[in-house]
Amino acid sequence: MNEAPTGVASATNARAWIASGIAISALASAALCVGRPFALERGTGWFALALSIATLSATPLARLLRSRGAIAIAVQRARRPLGLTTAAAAIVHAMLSLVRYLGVDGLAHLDVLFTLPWLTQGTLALLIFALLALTSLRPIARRARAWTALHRLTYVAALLAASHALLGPHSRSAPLVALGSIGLLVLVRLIPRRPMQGRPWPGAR
Amino acid sequence: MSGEASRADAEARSEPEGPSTIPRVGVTRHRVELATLTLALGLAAIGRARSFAGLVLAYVVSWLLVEFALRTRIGMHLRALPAGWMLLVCVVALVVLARDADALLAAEGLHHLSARLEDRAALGTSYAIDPLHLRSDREQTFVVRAEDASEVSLELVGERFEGEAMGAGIFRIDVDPRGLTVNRETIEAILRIDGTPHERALHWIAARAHPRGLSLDALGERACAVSEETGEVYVIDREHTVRVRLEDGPVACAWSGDALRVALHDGRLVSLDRSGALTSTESEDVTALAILPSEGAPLEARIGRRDADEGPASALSIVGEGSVEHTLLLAGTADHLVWVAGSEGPLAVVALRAPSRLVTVSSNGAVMAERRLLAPVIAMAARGASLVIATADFAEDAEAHLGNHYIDDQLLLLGPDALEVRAVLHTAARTPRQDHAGDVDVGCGPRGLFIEEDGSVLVAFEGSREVTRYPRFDLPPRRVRLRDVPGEAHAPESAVRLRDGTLLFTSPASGALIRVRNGRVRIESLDGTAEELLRDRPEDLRVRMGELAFTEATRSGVSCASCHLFGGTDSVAHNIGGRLLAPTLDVRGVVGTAPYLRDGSYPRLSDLHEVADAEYRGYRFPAGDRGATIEGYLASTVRPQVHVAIDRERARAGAAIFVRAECITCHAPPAFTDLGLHVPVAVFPDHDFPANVTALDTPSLRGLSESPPYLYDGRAPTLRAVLTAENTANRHGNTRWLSETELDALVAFLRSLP
Repeated sequence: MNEAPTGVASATNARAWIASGIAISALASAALCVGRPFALERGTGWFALALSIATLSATPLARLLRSRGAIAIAVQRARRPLGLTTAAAAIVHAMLSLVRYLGVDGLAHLDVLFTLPWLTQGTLALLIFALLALTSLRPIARRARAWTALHRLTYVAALLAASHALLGPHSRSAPLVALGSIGLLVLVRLIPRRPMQGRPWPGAR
Repeated sequence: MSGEASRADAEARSEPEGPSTIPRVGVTRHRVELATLTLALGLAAIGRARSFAGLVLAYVVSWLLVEFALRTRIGMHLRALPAGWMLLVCVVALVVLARDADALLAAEGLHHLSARLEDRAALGTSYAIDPLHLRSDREQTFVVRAEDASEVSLELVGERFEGEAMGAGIFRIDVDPRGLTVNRETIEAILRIDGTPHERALHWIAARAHPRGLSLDALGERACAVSEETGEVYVIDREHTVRVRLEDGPVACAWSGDALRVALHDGRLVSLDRSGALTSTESEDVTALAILPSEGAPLEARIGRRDADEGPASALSIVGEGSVEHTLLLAGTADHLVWVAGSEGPLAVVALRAPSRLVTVSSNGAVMAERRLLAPVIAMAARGASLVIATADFAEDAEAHLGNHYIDDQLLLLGPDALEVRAVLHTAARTPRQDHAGDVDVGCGPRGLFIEEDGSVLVAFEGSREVTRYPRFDLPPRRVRLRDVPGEAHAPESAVRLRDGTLLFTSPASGALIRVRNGRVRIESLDGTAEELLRDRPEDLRVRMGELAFTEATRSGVSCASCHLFGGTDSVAHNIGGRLLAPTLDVRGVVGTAPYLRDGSYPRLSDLHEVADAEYRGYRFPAGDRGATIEGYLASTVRPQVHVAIDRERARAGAAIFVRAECITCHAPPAFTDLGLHVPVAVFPDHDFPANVTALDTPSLRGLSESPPYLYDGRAPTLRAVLTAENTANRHGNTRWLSETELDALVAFLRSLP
């Protein structure tokens, strides 16, 4: 078994993984939107969806890289900042879309968010991402005892976001890929894990 | 430990991994998660959650409860809860929730999702082509989206059809399949984009005989009818039918002495002699004709299509002595044309749609009278000075009736000179056979009218499957009920009576000619009987059954064909289900653009028959799986050809503006729809919508020039109004900044869409 890395090294690695996740998500969303109308609103939406998949991929990837301890830890630690970035991107997407589709007085028409299934699902995903981001803040996270149970909703939020993109009027096949990816990640999550031999990395409980 | 390291540790502590135990209560995290899930599913099952929001709310509430429990002594009891019991509760709750799964899926727009995804996948393919089916009997136009291409062509059964660039990466390919030989339901098409082949599968729809439009000769001994689909003219007497095949589909026929005058699909007018041989051809653009026998040369009235700047128009030509003497341009689409004897000479009566009205024109080309109607003329007949029309709504000096698809089938007897209404007969009625109060089962869907020598009116009721003779408007009618005839169903479309008393009528939907003499019914099937189709061409039988279902009246007297006249549109607005006054959409060729209806509430064509059950009290007679057959029929229809003269260069300039004004975002080629639902207030914030209108489906723009008025409630009479007066908020396309020239170009492009 590899020796556990130092905190500094793992934090540096984590930053690299976060940057990689964000860069890959940005590239994926840019490929779907550059040169198309409404690129900014949709781009941020795709960005949020891609980031949510990157977030969900962190744990399975860390497990896959278990034999390479330092990298696995770094990947695992990238999950939280990726999740926070997902929430931020989702909020920006929602704000831009509100202004774009409903005008600057869009807040006066918030009821329309609950009229069409794809809008309701997007709104619900946004609310969950925001809730998870809020409860990821360290003071709250440390106090929450059933933190893990709440954050299982990440999968639900990602599925809702993919469904939002799938049912939305402008989508083609990309949301199907997203939905498939998330479904796969859910399945991976359901596979029973091997019993841990001691603490996998410092700080884990 | 450094600051960085301690932060990393803190992060790891806040993101626990593995089945660790929560301090102080000694419960494993897995057990906490299972308890939360069990509680959530239990709450959702008890609360009968039928939405994702409900399920998520149940989970969050459960989490809060568990979190609270873990902070108190209650949390310790979680250790004692058997996992097996919790799993059992989960299973039971899931079973309860599964019972409402359909409602949940419907509420979340996931019901029959595969149908929608299939259409999206087809139209999202690179390079996409629309439509994905091909009718064997007529020219069609395919649209291809290929942004980066300069040359596009389509190869079908070894024949190549070149594409024409419409601008903005959109290509049109005109295909005439009549020379193709295909013996299977699916044909492989090769779409060549700049020489690179891309395989596509097209559904091949074989033509079926549709005899329609009976016309009696002057002696009353023979009648003629046409079948545009199979390119045939039928000459029918009391015993026999002679089938004459023409090189193009005939759309109308009339007798001129012994000769038969036939208008063809391509606009030509041909003459056939007694033996069926072609004697002359004229290159006129004719879609309907009426011939008035006279002692000298017969007087002939012809209707042809014309292009007008603001929508479809029709040209009426009066022909005497073999040459056109007068031509008159009339706004709207002409559906029917007859001659009637006015007090000062013969008058040609034209029934027009969009707007619905009657116009009489004298033989010297002068408009003598015009009368607006509330609904289009469904059928028209004249004899001497008698003029009778069938329509679905009428009131003197009043607005059209609103209501749930208001249809009130009636016959109007009109005076020929001033077109004044002399008598009204409401035909739809209830007989003792009908078992629901308020329902009707006879006199529904009049499609064919014939005035007999004694003035009796013969009416072919397509909806209620009968041919009825009205001796006078105030006397009880005599009916020939086709439902009583053993064998398959028939839907009469036109009727005449031969001089010997034989009653003759056509049923296009079942491809049959029907003779009734001395109470004996004889059916002549021109397209094979149901048994033959079931054995040899089961798909054709499905389409036939679907077409019959499309024309069949529900208990309320309304059929699909009541509003979708001839499979298209009646060009008036109906208050659908009491929700929104909306102009009737043309349903031809809509397959592949799910979801359907204005509000996109139906993901599959096969679901549309539910409208009949939900809004019109359903059908009286069982007829198998109407949903499947109606879907088969609708999938066999194609969009009508667009006949507009367009400046192609200007239209191409309009294509660039179509992109720049962001129209292409929602009206995405090749089907010119994004197949999605939009919030009305987001697109038309300056319009007032009823509270129950929460979604607008993006309609396809194909064939737009043929279907005014525009927008969801028909408020825009012209395309320019759609882009200007009805888009003041500038959200239905970014058109505010367009110059007049650019608007003209954009309108030209929209009108050019095939």
